[in-house]
Amino acid sequence: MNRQTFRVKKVIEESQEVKTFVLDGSIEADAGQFFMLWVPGVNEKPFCFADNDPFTFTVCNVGPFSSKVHELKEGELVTVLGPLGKGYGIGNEERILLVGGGYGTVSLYLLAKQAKGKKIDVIIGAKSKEDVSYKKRFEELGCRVFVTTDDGSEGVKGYAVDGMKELLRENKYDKVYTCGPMIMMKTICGLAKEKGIQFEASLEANMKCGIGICGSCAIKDKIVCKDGPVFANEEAAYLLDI
Amino acid sequence: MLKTKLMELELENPLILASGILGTSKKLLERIGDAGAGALTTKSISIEPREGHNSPIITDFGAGLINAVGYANPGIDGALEEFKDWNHKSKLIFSIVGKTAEEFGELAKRSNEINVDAVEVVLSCPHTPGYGLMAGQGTLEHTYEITKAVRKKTKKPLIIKLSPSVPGVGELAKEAERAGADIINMGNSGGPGMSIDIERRKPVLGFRFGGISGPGLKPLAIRCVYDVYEAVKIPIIGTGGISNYKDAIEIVMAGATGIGIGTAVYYGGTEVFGEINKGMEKWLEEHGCSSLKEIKGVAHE
Repeated sequence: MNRQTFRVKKVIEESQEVKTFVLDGSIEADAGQFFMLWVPGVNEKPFCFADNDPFTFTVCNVGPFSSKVHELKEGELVTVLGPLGKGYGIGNEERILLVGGGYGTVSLYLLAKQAKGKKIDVIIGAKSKEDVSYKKRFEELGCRVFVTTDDGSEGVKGYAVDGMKELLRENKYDKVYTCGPMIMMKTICGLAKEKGIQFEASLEANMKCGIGICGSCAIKDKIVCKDGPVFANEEAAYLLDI
Repeated sequence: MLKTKLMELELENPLILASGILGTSKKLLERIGDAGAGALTTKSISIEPREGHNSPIITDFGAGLINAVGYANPGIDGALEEFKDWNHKSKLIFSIVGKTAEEFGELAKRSNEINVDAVEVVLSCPHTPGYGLMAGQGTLEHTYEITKAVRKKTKKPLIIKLSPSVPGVGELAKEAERAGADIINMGNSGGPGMSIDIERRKPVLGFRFGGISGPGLKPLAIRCVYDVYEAVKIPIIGTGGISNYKDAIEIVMAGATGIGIGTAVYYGGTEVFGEINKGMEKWLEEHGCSSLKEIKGVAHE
């Protein structure tokens, strides 16, 4: 597989720390797959697709690499390797629940788009109001969106799993999909397992090559960049130590 | 039919996961053993932990891969902890890299603390400053000196891994044999080579250049194994671009006893081990052979 180069068509400032980059082309990708974003002379890191048509991704400025990405301006070049890995499984579920933590929420947006026709509820878990991402975009797709924040500055005060417990009181879901910090996904998948609901989680790992060769992203005996990053049910439970 | 003996090292089959491919964790190596590899080589381990180079560390150039991982590894202490208590039907080969003969000796000595089946000494990395070719370890003098230093510290089968990209591989192999090597691994990735992204007008790899592997390397590997077979009596692990059972048979005909598999995992996943084994068995049956021994080195006759 070869790297492809696009141009930045539009930069959207989501918040002080978060930018969304819309590129001048599309790419065929399943929700939950990822790509390696190359900044020549700096490094290459994995990111999820926020959208594939047009190719869109969102980056939070958390370190030296993402701050370089944030310097990208309209008209400049972006080079990627992808799509890589295995994405979310979309079957004949009727009602699904998407639970995103922080910027993990972004990878669920493409899932909501590709799972069109299903009844979709979304929980966005964030530290505070400023970190809530993609709420409007999910609503525009017709999803019901619930927000939980650690500090109570938006939605319900608490963790995403608290929101999920609330929703489960009155709703039945065929599958729960989650992407976010490992500790959050552990609680979400743990609850789904306990309630007998199917679940899928997109795992975080230190990917360096992205193509299943270098082994740096291994968790137990799984190669996260190739066997995953999305794992379902027993496999996800095994990897999350549930 | 595929049982293989490399001196003291007895394998269920000749396929050996090459160093640097997925060899980061014990559980992952066990999985590849279950998938059909006769032996598994750990990532190359240095004294201190190493971060390795910035990404891209591996890129596909169309006929194989170029890599400059830069020996990312947890260091000897971390590695001994990770790979201890090895207890799997597939054998464990502990790969070591040092900056000096003393470092190699120290690493070999430390490897005795855990249950490894063999030690592999890499003298041939083309892309890491201070190590391998970039430190001049591919010369006759250093090959002898380093092999000797390691031989003193371990009684385990000792594999010396050479570069296919230096002249006189036969002479180097002889020198390793003279210093006490049990097995020659011929060999490492080739080059170094470079890929330039034409849209970005820059080398793709973070380190700019790296070792060439995969199908594009195969003819070089076959010739090197052929040369080494003429030069030494000790067995050879043939590594370089072996992707399917036909390649495997070919490198055995050149003189290999063991067969290193690396980049093939990129094309065929971990299942590739089972497929190559099955393919070799079928080929042997169809050609009236009862073992690989019957065709080893036949290209020399």
